[in-house]
Amino acid sequence: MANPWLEGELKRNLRPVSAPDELWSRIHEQHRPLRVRPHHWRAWSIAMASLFVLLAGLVWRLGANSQASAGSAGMRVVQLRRPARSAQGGCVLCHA
Amino acid sequence: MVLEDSDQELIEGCQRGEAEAFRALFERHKDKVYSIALRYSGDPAVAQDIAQETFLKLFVGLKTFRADSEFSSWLYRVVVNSCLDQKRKIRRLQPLLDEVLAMLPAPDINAFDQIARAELSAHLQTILSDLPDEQRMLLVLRYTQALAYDEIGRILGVASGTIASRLNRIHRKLERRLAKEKKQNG
Repeated sequence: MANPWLEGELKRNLRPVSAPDELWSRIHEQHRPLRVRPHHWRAWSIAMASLFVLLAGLVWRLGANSQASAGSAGMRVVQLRRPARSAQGGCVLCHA
Repeated sequence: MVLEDSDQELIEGCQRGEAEAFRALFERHKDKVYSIALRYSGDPAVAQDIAQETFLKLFVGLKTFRADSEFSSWLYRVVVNSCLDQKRKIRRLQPLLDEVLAMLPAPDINAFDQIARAELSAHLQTILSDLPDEQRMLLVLRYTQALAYDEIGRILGVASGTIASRLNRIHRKLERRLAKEKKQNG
């Protein structure tokens, strides 16, 4: 049980009131928009998501490029190191 | 119950698309809806937004409202949800200091007591505005609408015993905060 003073104050401070007369017209004219409030969090989340997608794309492209160049360089080294032999076992460079 | 029967007739009228029924239902419940919205938000403009949103939801929902459901509980749930939807934007309960000052004077207390009580009431407003949204809503349903614990429980979806213990905790919290404020202010 709350103390009587607090109970009384809560009742007084939170007592019911009458609705303003313009409320019906606000509801009746449904075209009247609710007050526009900024949704900063929404704008920020969209911006962050876009940035993330851009960065992810950039990282992926860089990764793909470096893999491709590393792969082709590796192939060239392997080709140079591999003994140049013909299908018959002879050196194609010497026995062309 | 006569009122509920009348509500039922109006709801049926709304379901048939009768404009007068909508208006009558609005007139019947506008003060209740607006009071909850205002006491919860503390801002008349926000309260009008909440009330508008509540009635629009109500009129849309009435099309599928089942006659066996209890209208008043449903109405309260719609208001409560509309209020809680606004909770990010609402931070302050209505500052009623001038009204409180006008109400507090009583013939049996002296001027010093009046000032002290007015100060405490002002602190109470601040403390109420700092309460978590669910606790503030509980106080609004209890003190603005004078609802019983089981009715509040039905609206908020918790047992009436839980409502009683939560209210008890809120009262103690308010008393502690008020005592602290009083001590700080000498």
